[in-house]
Amino acid sequence: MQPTYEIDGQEYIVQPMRRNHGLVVLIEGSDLEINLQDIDQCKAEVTVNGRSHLLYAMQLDNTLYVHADGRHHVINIIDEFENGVVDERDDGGSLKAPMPGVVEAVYVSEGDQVVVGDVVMLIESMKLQTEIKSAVAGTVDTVYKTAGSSFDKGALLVAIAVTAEKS
Amino acid sequence: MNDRVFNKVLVANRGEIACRVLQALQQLNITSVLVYHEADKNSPALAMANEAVELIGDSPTGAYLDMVQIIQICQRLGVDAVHPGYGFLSENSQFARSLASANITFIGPRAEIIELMGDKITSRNFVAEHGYPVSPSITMDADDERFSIEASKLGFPLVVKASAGGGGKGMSIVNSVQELSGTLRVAASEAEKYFGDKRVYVERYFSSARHIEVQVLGDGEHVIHLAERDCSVQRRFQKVIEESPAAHFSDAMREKICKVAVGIATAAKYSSAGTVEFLYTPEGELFFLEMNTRIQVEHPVTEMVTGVDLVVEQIKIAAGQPLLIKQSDIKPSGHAIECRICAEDSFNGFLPEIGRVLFFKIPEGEGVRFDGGIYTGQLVTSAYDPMLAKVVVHAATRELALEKAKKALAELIILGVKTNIDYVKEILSHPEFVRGGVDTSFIKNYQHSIVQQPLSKQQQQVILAAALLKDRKFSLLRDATPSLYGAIGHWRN
Amino acid sequence: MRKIISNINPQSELFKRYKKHNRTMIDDFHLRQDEARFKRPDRDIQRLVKQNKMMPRDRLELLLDPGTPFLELSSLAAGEAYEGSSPSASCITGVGVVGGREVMINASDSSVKGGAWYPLTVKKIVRALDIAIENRLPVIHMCDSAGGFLPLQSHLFGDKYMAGRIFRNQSQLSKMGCKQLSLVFGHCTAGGAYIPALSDYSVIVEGTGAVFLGGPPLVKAATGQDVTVDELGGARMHTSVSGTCDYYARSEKEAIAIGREIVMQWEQKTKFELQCETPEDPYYDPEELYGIIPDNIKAGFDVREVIARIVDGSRFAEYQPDYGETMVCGFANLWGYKVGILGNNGVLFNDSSLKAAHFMELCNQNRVPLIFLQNITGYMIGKEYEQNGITKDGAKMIMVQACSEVPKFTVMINGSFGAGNYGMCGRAFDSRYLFSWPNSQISVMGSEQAANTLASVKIAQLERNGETLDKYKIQEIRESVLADYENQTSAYYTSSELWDDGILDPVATRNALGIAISTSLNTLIADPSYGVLRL
Repeated sequence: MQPTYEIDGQEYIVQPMRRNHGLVVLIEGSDLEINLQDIDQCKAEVTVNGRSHLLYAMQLDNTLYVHADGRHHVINIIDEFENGVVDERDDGGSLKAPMPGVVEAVYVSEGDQVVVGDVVMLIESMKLQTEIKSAVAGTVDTVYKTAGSSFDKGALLVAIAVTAEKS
Repeated sequence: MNDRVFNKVLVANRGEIACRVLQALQQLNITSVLVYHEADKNSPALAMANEAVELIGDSPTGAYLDMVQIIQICQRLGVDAVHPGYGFLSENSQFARSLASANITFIGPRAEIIELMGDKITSRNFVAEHGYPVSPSITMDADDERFSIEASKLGFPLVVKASAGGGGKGMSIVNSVQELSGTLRVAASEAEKYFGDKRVYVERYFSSARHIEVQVLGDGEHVIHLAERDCSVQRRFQKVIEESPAAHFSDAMREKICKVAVGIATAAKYSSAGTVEFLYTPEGELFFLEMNTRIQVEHPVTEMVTGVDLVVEQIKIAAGQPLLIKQSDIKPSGHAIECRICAEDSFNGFLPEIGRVLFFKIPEGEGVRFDGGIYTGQLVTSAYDPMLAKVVVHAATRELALEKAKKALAELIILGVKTNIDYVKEILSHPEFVRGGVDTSFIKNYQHSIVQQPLSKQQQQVILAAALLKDRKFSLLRDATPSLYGAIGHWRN
Repeated sequence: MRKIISNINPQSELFKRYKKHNRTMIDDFHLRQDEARFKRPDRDIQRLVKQNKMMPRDRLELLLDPGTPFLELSSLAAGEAYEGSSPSASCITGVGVVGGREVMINASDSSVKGGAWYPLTVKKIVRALDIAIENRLPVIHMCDSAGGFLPLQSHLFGDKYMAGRIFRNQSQLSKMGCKQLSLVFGHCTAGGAYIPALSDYSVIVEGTGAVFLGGPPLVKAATGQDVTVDELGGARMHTSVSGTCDYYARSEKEAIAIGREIVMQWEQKTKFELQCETPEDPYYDPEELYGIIPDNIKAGFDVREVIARIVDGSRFAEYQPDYGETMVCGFANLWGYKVGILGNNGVLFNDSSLKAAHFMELCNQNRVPLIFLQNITGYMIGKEYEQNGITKDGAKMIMVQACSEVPKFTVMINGSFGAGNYGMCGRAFDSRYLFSWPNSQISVMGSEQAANTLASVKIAQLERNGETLDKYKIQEIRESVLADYENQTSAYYTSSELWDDGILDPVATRNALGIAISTSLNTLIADPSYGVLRL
């Protein structure tokens, strides 16, 4: 396996090569000797090919929050495990939450027929209400969340079984 | 001459404004009580109050809106005044009345004024009756069949507003008649939920107008103004950057807008701190938008430019003291800029972010002010407003203030949740903003040029190096690996 | 410990000539390796893609820890056999690091005839497991094999060290406490089914992994029952009904991730505390080895020059430097580990044989591993030497060597002829690892000598039958015998037959030996049975 990190949607492999005085790694075709000296829990000095940089970093699960050179960065540690799971087939019938929040109201029940554009759910986040509309024509297969329940970004809200076009 | 002061004041709010009010109370040597919900039990505000009392309630928001419980606590502890901060119960006239019945002073204007200005429709009518300019609108019932026709007559784009709304909440833009019914539906639902009143009204939307507001202070008889603030830079009707004085704003215009503001406040016999908001069009027209009868988020901007402590004044006025500051005492100097720091993914459609504050470091320096109630370990959830803190700077000129603000934002560190810090820094460097060409469409118009600076190769390398060496998973592996293998490294034969 | 003084002149004509010759040879070696590892008919690659399977070497890279080495064994196994239809003997074996633990890896190469087992495949797997047993290494099996290669079944089934030995070795490993993990990526049929079954932990992939003693066609033929692969031995069934496999994986990547997590739970072995120092790169450039090894097997060179380019700091404490000069013995450090090195500078005489034996006794007494750098044409023959007991002395050397308690490592760096092979710890003498350099040759006697002998026999036979041979015919016969002989003495032939654990680029020797020594320290080194006999 190779450590892989994602910054702003771009994935980078940081391949450790060998140990010298520091760790020699290969990043995007460049050989770099890197080192990190912890100053306290969050502050550290990172050296890349002899040049030092002061930065702040904290890790929570698979996310690393870094502040360097006056800028904030969020780095996702790509987990080979998550990468490996085959994605559930998404034909547009799976309606996922665009952001974390709470279900305000559910307008459909399992078995209902819907067409493109029908409002199936009302969600609320940060005092902002958003209508969740069906992107396909079909039958409501599963309603995963009830009114009042909360969810994370990307959570499945409603699954709609796409009905084939009748000729 | 009345030099009454309060013995004990309860702060019915949370976060940075609770800290702000508690600080003013400390200054005035008044005993303070803070009410808090369990979710806020680790807030630094608790240590600033003389007494902290837990509010019982399932939802944090519900708790801070629980008037009955708050009043009971006031009575139990012998509180003689309540400062409501902003949001929550700050513009709730029923709360003001209930407090009055319990012989507790509400630090803010009288209930009638709250009602007058709180209802967007009545406030507009009041202002128009007194001869001040308001923008054209339709205020019928949303269910009325003619609504769409009348609204369309105003011309698009339109903005749908909740009558009982405010603070940029309960507003949506409609670009065509097709969108109108859907938007009205959502707006009415939100209005019902948040403000308890589903009435909405529709106004012509001026996309390139500036949002200029005037800070006023009144004691019921006299009203003074403390100059204007430009709050044009907004996203989703929420202010992001506020500054004073407004750039490219003639002295004549300034005089006029302040005069109108004072006129409106005087007509209402205003007491306490308040803000009169206006729309200022490129054609030079001025329209009254609304009046906020509370201390506002962006009050530090005025404080830094005038040297007046608005919260202290509010408390003194509420205690019955007359306003001792005269209009001639107000001599704004220099330039102040405030940046609201919010938990959001600004470069990706401002999507709200949740997380936990793992670490933070605040900027310091002369003319740098940080108003925040954040603490390490704080959970950032969808329960509250995404604003975490405010960075406010003051300098002799706008250019110097911009530099100071950028430097302060570069020094501000919040780790654990994405924030708009880097985004606001980009705005402050944007040539149009630097020029002073701001209006309420600023963010929308320049969204393609307010982008994240791409990382230089060197920056990339430093961050990736830090990522690998801080990555706990990798450190564990490295420690477990026999040293020979680490020394030989990646080798194949 | 003093640094070896090198007498090599990299500017000399000889050096340059040797270097040119050896570089060509090494390039050819790398080419052969690349072909054995990666050249596959497009049809076979497409089949794997369609089956949703990863290429075996991709699985390997995903399994291994970042920034760690992989010592592949016998990459050119079966290279000279079966007309090349089983490159690398259809499997990949080697020592690597997974989850911070040293492991032996045995992976099927399903891009070669579906991973079917040729006789040499079986031999290679058995050898890998033998190494695991001797060195107490845990094993990770990556199973994806079509089973035994039927046309050659008689060469892989019946005998003691054939297919059954794999399962016997697995059982012995388990008895010793060496953990085994199986990742089932494909079919494990008949005998192959025992690999996951005899493993302590197993993970099976949905859709492609299957374990059964007989596949659906066999079941249908034997009992008339109709059953699908999944029903008979698929992932769901074995992880929820029969309990034959422990973990269910939805994809190969997930299986590898689960496998790594399992390995990270294994205890770290406590190593024998071999004398150790901080490692240091050799003072002389290992690349100079290309200019030191001659381009003709008869030419000599000083083995100290080779030692100087393998050991830490090029430092070597030579033992009895003035006695038995055709045998070079001494102590050095390799990747920090203290080692005893024996290298040849000519044929073995009485004194050199005795010196070697004495030195090996010292290494046993000091618990120091032995490294043999073989370049030996044999023991000296002749009346004087026989009367002085050369045979007895050779026997002493072999006895001490064979009964050593310390781990032994052999590298055939040039010639390995006759009894010299025995004394210097050839294959039969259980070195933990035995490697060849591409230039090395091995046979019972030198090729010219042997060719002449064989040719003489053949010529005599023909003449007895009445044929007259002119000198051209004689030359022809001699040359054809020589050609055959040379083919069969080459390192490639040796490696193909698995008489070694792989061919090494001379420059790679240091790393290979370092890893080898590290794996050998999982057991205690026992006491020698005698004190040191001054021979």
